[in-house]
Amino acid sequence: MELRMKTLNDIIERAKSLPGRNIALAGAHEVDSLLAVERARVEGIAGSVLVGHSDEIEAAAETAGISLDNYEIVHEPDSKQISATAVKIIKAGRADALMKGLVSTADFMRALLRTEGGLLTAKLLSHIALFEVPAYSKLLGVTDAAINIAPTLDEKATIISNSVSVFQRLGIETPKVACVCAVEKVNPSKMPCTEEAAILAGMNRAGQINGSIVDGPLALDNAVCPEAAKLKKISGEVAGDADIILCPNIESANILYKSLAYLGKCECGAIVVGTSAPVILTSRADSDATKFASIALGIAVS
Amino acid sequence: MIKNFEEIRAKAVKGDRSRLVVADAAGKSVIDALTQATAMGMIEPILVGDESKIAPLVEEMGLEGARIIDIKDPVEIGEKCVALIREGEGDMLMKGKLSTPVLMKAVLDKQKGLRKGKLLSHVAVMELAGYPKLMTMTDGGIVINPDLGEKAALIENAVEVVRGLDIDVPKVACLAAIEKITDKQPETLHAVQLVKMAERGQLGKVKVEGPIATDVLLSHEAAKAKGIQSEMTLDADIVLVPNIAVCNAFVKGMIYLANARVAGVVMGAACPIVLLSRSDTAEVKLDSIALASVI
Repeated sequence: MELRMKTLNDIIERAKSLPGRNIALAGAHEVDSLLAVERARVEGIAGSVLVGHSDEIEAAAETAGISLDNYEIVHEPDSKQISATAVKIIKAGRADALMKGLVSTADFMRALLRTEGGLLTAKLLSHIALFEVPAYSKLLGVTDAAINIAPTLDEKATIISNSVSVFQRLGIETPKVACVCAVEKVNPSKMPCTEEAAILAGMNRAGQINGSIVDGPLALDNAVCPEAAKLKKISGEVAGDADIILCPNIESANILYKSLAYLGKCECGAIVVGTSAPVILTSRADSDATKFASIALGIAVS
Repeated sequence: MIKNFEEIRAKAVKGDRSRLVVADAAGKSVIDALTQATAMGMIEPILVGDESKIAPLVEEMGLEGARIIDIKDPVEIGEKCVALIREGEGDMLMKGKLSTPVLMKAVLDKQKGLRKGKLLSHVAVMELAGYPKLMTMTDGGIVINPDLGEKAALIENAVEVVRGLDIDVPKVACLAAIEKITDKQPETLHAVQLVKMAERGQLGKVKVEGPIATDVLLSHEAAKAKGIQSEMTLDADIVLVPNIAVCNAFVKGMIYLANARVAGVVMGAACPIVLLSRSDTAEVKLDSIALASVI
């Protein structure tokens, strides 16, 4: 029987069950990030290698009230090189997940993609958030709310594969992917998203996208609500029971993400995948619970 | 289910005579086909055109019971034919000597024409030695390079034809060169989209599969060798071909290389339209009239 991940706590427990995991924190001279990795350490999820200027890290730790005795610090005086140094630590196998602290996003991404050949293993990076939604029977994946702006058909296929690998790492062998549009019917020429969704479903059926069941177009209601699917007479295994919602573009994914977070008051864990080690990219606006869940998710799939 | 042209002819003979409106019948081969179809009990011809030219032919060929409507101007002939259908005086239309553009202009007229479906398309029905049922193929005659929406309409038009062949849930195979889905071969994308449209009930009562290559369509051995199990293999009722060039070549190839027996009809208007080519044999003409009258 397949596992059903229902809550973020299930992810946290899974992360805890994996021993000896470490995070490479790029730009550790930041109070918020230090507090987050300290909680991960205290709760038994992972240790951290703190990368940055050691003086600045010490200052931030003092402000945060954290003892650095429990951490390895890698001194990198050149602020432009911090991310590259952190990537090298991952490459050397000394850490299992990469986390962005106080470094510029441009430097971070450059290092991620280029340092010693970079960490990219898929055709592209993508972002996935796993939401705990009280009204839904299991964790719900939302992609891509942060990285790919207007993915092409091929890019969507890769985003699906990236997202599926996360679920498989969590023990869900064959996640169900809903390619969500405004309607569940193919609307030729007028709604390109519905055309691409149908193609992705076809590619899955033809064995060109594996490890998952993909269906689309589906509207969000018939993707997650069995009654809505039944009412519209939509057959198939995905309708009403989706694990992953593939949104047509960054706007729709971002709106879905923020609707769940701000209007639905749902917590999530989010990571960037497509790399040899998961990438934890939290935002200052994230709640503590979301930051913690994101670290746990990164470790759980590492 | 009707499996060959003899059965189509039998059904056409058995049913009520269809009132066939012929646009300018002033041609020997046209009158010849009409004479046969009338003698067999398929049709009741209404001949629109120059009576001074048509009447002697009718006399000569021994066509009995034909109604002649005397009009000389080609544009008026087209308009009158369409009007007869609209007024319920005719059941189907046939192009005689009137030029195709003149007839089509009358058919497609927004106010007075016969527009009904999303587009007009050509549907060919083939009887082939190597295929266990009639194969209905589209479009080798009208729609040049259909997009997805147009392909959906092509399927709908073809489905109307096979309903006349007493097929309840037609199987539609979307032909391509390969089974892999790739944007380098756009017909493969269209094929899977049509599959999904059928699944979502957008194409009515049909079963659609694709992309499917011709070998898998025509041979169980080829399908097996490719590791493909398809209920379309030797059992598709309708074959949707990616564009006019491929479809036209396929059908003509079948006629000239495989001795296929073929009839064609134009669908998508308020009634079936028989639109024959000068090179069509008398058998093709008669089969096409029979086909139109069973639709």
